[in-house]
Amino acid sequence: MKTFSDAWTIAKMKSIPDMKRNPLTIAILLLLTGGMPLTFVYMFGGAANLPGGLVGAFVSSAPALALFASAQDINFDNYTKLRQIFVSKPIRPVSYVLGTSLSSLIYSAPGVVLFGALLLQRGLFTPATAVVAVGAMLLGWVVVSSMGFIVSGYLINASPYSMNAIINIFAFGMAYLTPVYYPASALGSFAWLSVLTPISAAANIVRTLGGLAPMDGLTVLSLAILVVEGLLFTLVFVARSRWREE
Amino acid sequence: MAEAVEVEALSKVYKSGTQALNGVTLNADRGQLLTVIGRNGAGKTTMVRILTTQLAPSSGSARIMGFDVVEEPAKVRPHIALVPQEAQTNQSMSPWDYVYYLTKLEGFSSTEAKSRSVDALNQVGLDGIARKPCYSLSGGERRRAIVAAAIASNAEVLFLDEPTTGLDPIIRRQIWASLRNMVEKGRTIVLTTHLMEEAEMVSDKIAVVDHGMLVASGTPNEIKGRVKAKARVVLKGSGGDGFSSYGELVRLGDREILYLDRPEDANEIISASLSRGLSAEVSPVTLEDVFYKLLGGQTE
Repeated sequence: MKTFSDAWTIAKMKSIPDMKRNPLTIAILLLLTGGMPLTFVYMFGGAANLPGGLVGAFVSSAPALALFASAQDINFDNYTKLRQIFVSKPIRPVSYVLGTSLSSLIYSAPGVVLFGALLLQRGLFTPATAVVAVGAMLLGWVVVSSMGFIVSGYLINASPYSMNAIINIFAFGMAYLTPVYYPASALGSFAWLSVLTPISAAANIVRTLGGLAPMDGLTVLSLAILVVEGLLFTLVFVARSRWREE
Repeated sequence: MAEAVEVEALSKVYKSGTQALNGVTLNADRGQLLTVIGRNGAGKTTMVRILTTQLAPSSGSARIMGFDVVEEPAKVRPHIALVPQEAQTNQSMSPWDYVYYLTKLEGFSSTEAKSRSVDALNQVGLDGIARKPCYSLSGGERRRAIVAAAIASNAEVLFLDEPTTGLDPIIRRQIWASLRNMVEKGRTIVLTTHLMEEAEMVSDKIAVVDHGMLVASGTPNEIKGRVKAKARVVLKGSGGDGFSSYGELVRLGDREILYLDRPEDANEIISASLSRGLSAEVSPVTLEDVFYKLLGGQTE
């Protein structure tokens, strides 16, 4: 129980004061994770592609932030020595990791709510499919968080500037290059590639739930691979997680 | 009952080959303030990091409140709190946020964490600005927030790695008072510092480390007793060369420090100085003088 209450305290510590004092950050995050890509979708794809774009904004808000939180935030904690303070407290590493991930979820909540509400309002979601869609989005969030923690484990001593650059490249690749804001069918015979990266796999599922893509092998494969990736990356991360340095 | 801190032949060689600690043995009793002093790179921070379960030693052992830092880190952690060297607060947090959340992580209820946070923030003089975001505070105020978080903890052993660096003398003394109050209440403090006045003022025991080795340890008076000189004369203006027969003469630009082996020579030197137009001030040797002498006065 303490593991979860510590995680929740860390999540609040890493999100609430910042959101309270810098509300504009939320607006900037909304612009980056949804506003900007949707503008391009509308400009180059027209209104017909907006629902698909909204799905992209909905599924990528939390995972994209999770990537920043899990890698960049931990690197920043190392830099500010907050990590050292945590290590010297009766906190388990898993609480720290979970708390850091949850902070990204708190941060992305306004975006998830906004884009989810727009999808509901446009009739793409019913309350029931919305719940499943949130589940798919959370699965993507779990996989991306674990991936970020594994990356941060390897780059624990990298400068915050290097980490920033690396994570931005990762985030760009996972949220914008892969079929998140556009349908996997646009890749033609390479559509199967979309199941490999977590955010595009989650987008495949949510697109099907919204009636924007057929329920086919790609959807099933996306779900299966998301679950497998979730388990695999979490296990790898847990096996690698440790407080003490050698 | 086990001592609060027991360090036995502790060594650390980093992967780079740097030997940061080389067989250090020392201890601190419960309710004692142990200050570790040494030059930059002497191994002080490495020792603190090993004792706070962050870094694995290469050899030797260390126990906190009877628990081994390598074998039983989970049992050590509830007993310790740390102020790391060069720690920084998140700019968006207020001192209150910083102290409250970290205190909550000690396992206190919200009510208890709030009350301890208020008390700790008062002790470091941040009560009036506790709710202001750290980006609007000075470096010293932010540093005090970090110290307050350690004070608010329930830890029996506090590790403070240069906690007063960058603080003004008034606040520094306020923190010294807090440290001594905690020691009086039975908490043990391991402090590292470069400020010899601080070490002399607050310590029950001092350990001098250099190049990863323990050079001396004991009470401030015992450490001062390690050198032959008992008094010093600070001469302002040049021309102290003629006094070198009285003891070692150290030049500091246009000032000279003459270390006297026999304090009774002081009167003679003052008279001679005044006749030469030099200003002279006599005082007992300070910890800083001893530190300089113990470490050979080598430049880094």
